[in-house]
Amino acid sequence: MEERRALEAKVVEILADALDRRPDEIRLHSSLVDDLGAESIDFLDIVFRLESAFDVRIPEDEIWRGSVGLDPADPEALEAGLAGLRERMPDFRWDRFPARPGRHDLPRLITPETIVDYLSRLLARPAGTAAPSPSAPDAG
Amino acid sequence: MRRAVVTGLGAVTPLGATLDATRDALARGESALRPATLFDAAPFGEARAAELLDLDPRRHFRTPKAVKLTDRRTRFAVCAAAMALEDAGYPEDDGSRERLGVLVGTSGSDLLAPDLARAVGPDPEARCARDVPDFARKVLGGLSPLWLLVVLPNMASAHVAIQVGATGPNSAVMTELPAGLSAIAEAADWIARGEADAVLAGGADCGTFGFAYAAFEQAGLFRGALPAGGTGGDASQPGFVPGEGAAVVLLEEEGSARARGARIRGAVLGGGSAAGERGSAEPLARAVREALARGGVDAAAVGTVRAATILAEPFASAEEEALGTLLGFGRGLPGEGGQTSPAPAAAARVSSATGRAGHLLAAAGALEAVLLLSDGPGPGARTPALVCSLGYSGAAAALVLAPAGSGGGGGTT
Repeated sequence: MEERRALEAKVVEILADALDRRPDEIRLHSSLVDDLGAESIDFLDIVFRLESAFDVRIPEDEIWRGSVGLDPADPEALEAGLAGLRERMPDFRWDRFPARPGRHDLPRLITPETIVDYLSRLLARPAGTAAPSPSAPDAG
Repeated sequence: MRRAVVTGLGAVTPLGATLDATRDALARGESALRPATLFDAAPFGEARAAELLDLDPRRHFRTPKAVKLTDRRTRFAVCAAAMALEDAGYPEDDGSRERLGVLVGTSGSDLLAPDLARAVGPDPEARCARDVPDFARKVLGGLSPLWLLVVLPNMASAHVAIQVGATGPNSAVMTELPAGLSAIAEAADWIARGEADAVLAGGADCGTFGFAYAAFEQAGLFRGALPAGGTGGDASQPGFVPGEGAAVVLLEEEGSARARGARIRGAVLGGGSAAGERGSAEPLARAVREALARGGVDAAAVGTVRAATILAEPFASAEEEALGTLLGFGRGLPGEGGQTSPAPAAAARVSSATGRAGHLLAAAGALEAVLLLSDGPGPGARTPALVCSLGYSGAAAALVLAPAGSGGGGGTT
């Protein structure tokens, strides 16, 4: 639990730096895009900062696929994933989010919490194994 | 015929974080040349630097998050441009700034040198030099993916446009030290040709880092300092002392500027640029001749002259020779903040801020233009006025201006 809190604090600190916000402006359920103003260029920056801070490698696209855990190519899993996110993100303006989101919509669902979740999985894995994705059965 | 007039002035310099602060410091005879603090200048032939330390750029960024995408010169450019727009009382951005262009001259980026060094890491065996792929891996692996977006030459112009919503023509001039002055001349042409109705133009640069000092040392710029008490814009502090900052003017098409009741600070009559032999008077002489010809101004009619003087040889002598030959006067007249003595009728007064502000590199010529136009016609000054900048590689630029109220065509509202 303490580890989780430390991870959350570090992620919030990194996001605050990258998005030019005070840490107290960043809530775990804030949408990085809709609430915190992140643009595509910021995701490059955020991934780099996370990789440097945690000494991990985050493959291209993993920041949204791994973090949000949604695959637009799999409609069934997508619907299930969205249902879960709707529950976890009650403040998100779902009315402004497409019912059938495409790839480019997914970064809007990234929150500090989804990043923390993703990082916990990534950091829990032995070095050298594939990056985990919650939408696929864990290979371990 | 469409003509460009200057309606707004903005500057951030080592002497002050605004144009007014800079002017006040000059009037008080202050100098910004101090031992360098932003980097270790000990290994170089010049230990002084003109650093701009008391600027909060975030105030001038509409989206402060964008500050992380900027190096020092780009921050300076955004600040000076915002100040020029405010000074001009330019209409608020209603999303229709498609006829507002941006053209900032710069000699390059500071390359975020500390980030580069950190990315390479310790390399005691100089492996990077022998194994370039290894060097590339280290640099690319350890460098933020934003690095390139920060250091590109046009980023000063790009970020000015983003922060002020200027969606008209956008470009950059990179002709080393004269770039900022050339940018103003080129921007005036944009307006004359109808490509834009208004342009934020000027120079922004940063020379206060180790890379730049190493390059200037290699180029011999730290040798040949003028002797104390000799000639130059400020005889007491000779030498080429790199500085940093930005100077930007808002140019507007004269008709639309008058129609909106803008305060007109002066008109751009003509610009010229040339490239020639390094350290020679010839390119500057040609640039000045071209500017005078394009402005329809006789050399004898030039009243005030401001130059972004390199206070080191052979450049100072080359500038003196070019101006003396063309305009019929020599240097040695008091510079900024010095004692003003009545100038002979045929002689013009040559001023330069470089002796006190440091050499603002590509922003230096633009700063001289901004200072000239903020002065207005001084007592005894005759117009039109000439601003010029000679670089260290043989590039030169000149601009002929008619300050407002001078009878030289600037006019007032």
